[in-house]
Amino acid sequence: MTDMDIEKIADYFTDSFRQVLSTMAGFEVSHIACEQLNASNENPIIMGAMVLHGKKDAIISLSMEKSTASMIIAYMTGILPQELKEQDLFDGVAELVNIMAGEVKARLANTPYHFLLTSPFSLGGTNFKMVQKKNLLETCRHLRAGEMDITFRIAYI
Amino acid sequence: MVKRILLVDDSPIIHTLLRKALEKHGYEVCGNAKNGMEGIDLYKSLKPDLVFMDITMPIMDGLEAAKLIKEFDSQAKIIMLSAMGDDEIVEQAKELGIDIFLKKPFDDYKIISAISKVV
Amino acid sequence: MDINLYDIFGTSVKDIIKEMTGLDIRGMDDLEQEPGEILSMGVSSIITFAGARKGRLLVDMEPSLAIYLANALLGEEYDNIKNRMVLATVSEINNIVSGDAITKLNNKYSMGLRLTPPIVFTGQDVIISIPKISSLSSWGDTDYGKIRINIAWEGGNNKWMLNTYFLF
Repeated sequence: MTDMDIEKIADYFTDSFRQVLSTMAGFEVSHIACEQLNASNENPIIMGAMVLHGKKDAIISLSMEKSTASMIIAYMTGILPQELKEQDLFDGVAELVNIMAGEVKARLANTPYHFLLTSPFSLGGTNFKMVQKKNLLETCRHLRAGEMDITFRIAYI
Repeated sequence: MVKRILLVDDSPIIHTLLRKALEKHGYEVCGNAKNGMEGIDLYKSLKPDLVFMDITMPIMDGLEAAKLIKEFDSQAKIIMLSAMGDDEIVEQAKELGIDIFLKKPFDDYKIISAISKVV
Repeated sequence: MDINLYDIFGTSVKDIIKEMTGLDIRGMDDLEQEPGEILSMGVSSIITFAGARKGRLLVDMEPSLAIYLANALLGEEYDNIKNRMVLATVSEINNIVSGDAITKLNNKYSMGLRLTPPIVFTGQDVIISIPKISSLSSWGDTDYGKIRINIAWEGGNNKWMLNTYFLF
């Protein structure tokens, strides 16, 4: 695994996210330079994540403000944002991660980076901090759909 | 002469606990690596008397690192120290010529007795 | 599959914490089904394992307990839950507990399970949600705060996992 490999794999996830949002919610997603955003945030955040089991395990995460999750899930499901329950947002963001991982799994089959999926999960809260080990091979992508910002991260753990 | 020990583990807690136990008993921690790759590099440059090696680590796991260290120096002394210790993993370690396999958690006695059997 | 797949974790967490820090955990004798989402008590760590089956362990505790465990283990006087060493302690305890339980399961059932490194997180009113997988929790209490473990196995078919789906 090299820096170039992880960047390519991150691009696969980004492509998948773009495609899912375009197909299911009608959003166009652009990709801007990934800022080294601090995981802490004053606004409520929802993060969907999944551990990928491969020769080297990895964790992927997709984090966004709760209002962004609400908008995306509303467009994906056709339910008005105000009618979405909190559990719907958690389920929806976890499902987004699940779909992305499923697509990339297929693209990486028969490569040294093939992996197995595990259950996606979501975390939500204010000012929360997720900690992984230091010195990991990791990268991120900052994605923008209209006024909405979404951060994708992948780390080989 | 003071024995020099290299620690290879991705957990800062394990580094702290091992360092305390080893220094208390007169050993020198000559290097700290956070993954197997760093462990190999440090082994080559530091030539320690003994290595404590974790198994599950990012970049390169401990079994692969131990194999490469043994290829570089067949006399290398390695103690595996892992949270996992099922029969299959212990067998893999044995096949690599690992001197001792310890399962976490550990106390000073477990560490010091293992060292005395190896160096 | 039997209930050993769940209660072995309760035994491991009590034994390991006692061995590492001398702290007794009271309770943790019963398993209760959790609803879809879990409200964290302050600091939580998730570890997943995969092999013949896939599953995960969540260890969740009050900040006061996490700080006590770090101080007892390392002989320090940390007082901030966001201190890296406090979070690393919770992470390492989860790693060792899971390693102990998984080792026993592998030896007993030949499940070939392997662990991934743990993830640890903290924050205000953090909610953890794992859709489509039903899970069981076990609660314990200590002199320094509460602790809960939550265990989930995918693809189970016992009476505690009536709502489980095969995901992939």
